[in-house]
Amino acid sequence: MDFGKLLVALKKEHKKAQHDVFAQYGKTMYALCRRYLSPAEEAEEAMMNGFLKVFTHVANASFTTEAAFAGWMRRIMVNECLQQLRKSHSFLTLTETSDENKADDQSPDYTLHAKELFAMIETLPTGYRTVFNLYVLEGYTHQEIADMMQISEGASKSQLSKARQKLAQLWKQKNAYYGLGKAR
Amino acid sequence: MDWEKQDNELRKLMDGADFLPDGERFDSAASWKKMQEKNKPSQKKIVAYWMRIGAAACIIGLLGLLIWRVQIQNDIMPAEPMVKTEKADTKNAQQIPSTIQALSIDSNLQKNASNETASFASSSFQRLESKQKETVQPLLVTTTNEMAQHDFSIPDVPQNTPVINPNSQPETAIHTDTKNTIATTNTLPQEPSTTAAIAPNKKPALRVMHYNDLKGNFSTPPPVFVQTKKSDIEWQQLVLQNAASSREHPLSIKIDIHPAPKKSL
Repeated sequence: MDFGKLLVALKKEHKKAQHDVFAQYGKTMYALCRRYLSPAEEAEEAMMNGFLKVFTHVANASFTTEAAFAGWMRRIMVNECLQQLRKSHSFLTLTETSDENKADDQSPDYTLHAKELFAMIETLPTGYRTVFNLYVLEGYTHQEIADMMQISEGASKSQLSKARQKLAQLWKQKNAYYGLGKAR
Repeated sequence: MDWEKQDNELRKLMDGADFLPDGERFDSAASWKKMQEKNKPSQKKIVAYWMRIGAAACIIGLLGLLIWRVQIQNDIMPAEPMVKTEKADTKNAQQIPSTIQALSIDSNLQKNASNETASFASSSFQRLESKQKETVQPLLVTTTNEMAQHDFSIPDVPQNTPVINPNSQPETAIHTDTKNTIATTNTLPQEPSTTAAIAPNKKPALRVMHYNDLKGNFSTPPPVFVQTKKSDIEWQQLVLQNAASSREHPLSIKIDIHPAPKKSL
C-alpha cells in the first residue's frame, strides 16, 4: 500500500492499515525494545504500548516521508522502554565517577558483525546499556539523555565511558577465545 | 580514538537491524492478537457506557408511564365518596331512589346554590316528583322499647335499610322488627317530629335518622331508610343543594357529623 494512503487509513483508525504497519515494523521495533529491556516479556509489553500510542496519536501528526514516520515511531518506542525501565530500575543511582572522560586507546574496533555487537550489548548492565543505546545507536546528546533518564549530564558521560570499556573487554575476550586479532 | 567516527559506523550498522538473541523469535500474529486483547478494555467501556444510558432511559420511561397512569386514574375517579353507605340486607332491601338516600340538609348549602345549577336542579326536581309519586317507601325502622308498638303489615316494607338524619340525636336502638315500636326523628329542626304511627290502611312515612345511630350499635339490626313527607318547596331546596354539590360528585352522600339537637319525640 502506498505510504500516503496508508497514513490516511491510519488516521481513520482502519484496522487493516494498523495491521499492515504492525506487520511491517513489528520485528524492528521489538528488536529495538529488546536492546533496552532484558526480559522478552517486558520488551514485548513496551512494544505493544508503543504501537497503541502510535495508532492513537498518528491522527495529530503529519509526515512527509516514510522515514520520518519510522523515526517518530522509534522515539515513541524508546520512551516506552525508558518508562518501563523506570518502573523496575532507578537511574538516580547512576553517579559520576572520576574516570568519566578517560579515553581508552585500547578500544575495540567496532567493525564486527551487528549480531555479535547486539549480543555483547545485551550483557551490559542496565545503566550502561541504556546510555550506550541512547547515545551511540539513537544519537541523543548527553543533555537529552540526562533529561530523559533524569540524571546529571556527567553521570550520562560516565555511564557511556564505562559501557565502552566493558564492550572492549568483552570483545577482547571473544577474540582471544577465537584466537583472532583486533581487526577483521 | 575517534569515537564519533566509531559511533557513526556503529549506528549505521545497527540501523534497521532486527537482530534478536539466540533462540528467540518474534511472532507477529501472536503479538498482534495480544495487542488487540490489550486494547479491548476501551471497547468494554464503550459498551458499559451505552448500557448505562439505556438503563437510565428505561427508568425514565417507566416513571413517565407510571405518572401517566396515575393521571388517567385521577381523571376517571377524581374523588371517592365521603361516606360509604352500609347496604342493607339484600333479601329485604328494596331499591330506593338514590337521590332520596341520605339527603342531608345543610344550611350552608342553601347559600352556595348558584345559577349554573338551575337547569340541573329543575330536571332533578322533576325526577324526584315523579319518583315520589310512583314509589312511596313506607319504611320505618328505628324502634325503642319505650315506643308504642305498631303493626307493620305492609308487604313491601324493606327491612334493614339504613336511615340517616343529620340533625337527630342518637336516642334509640334500631332494628327492623316489625312488632317493635318505632323511633321517629325529625329531618328538619324547625319541624316537630312526626311519629311513625301509621294507620293500618296507610303506608307509614319515612323518617331520616341521624348517621350516629348507624355506628356502634351492633345489638340491634341496622336501620332502614325512612322517608319523610316533604313539601314541594323542601324537595326543591334539597335538589338545589344536591345540584350545588354535584360538581364534586352527583351521587355522593354527605353526612353531617355534628351532633344534632335533641328532639322530643
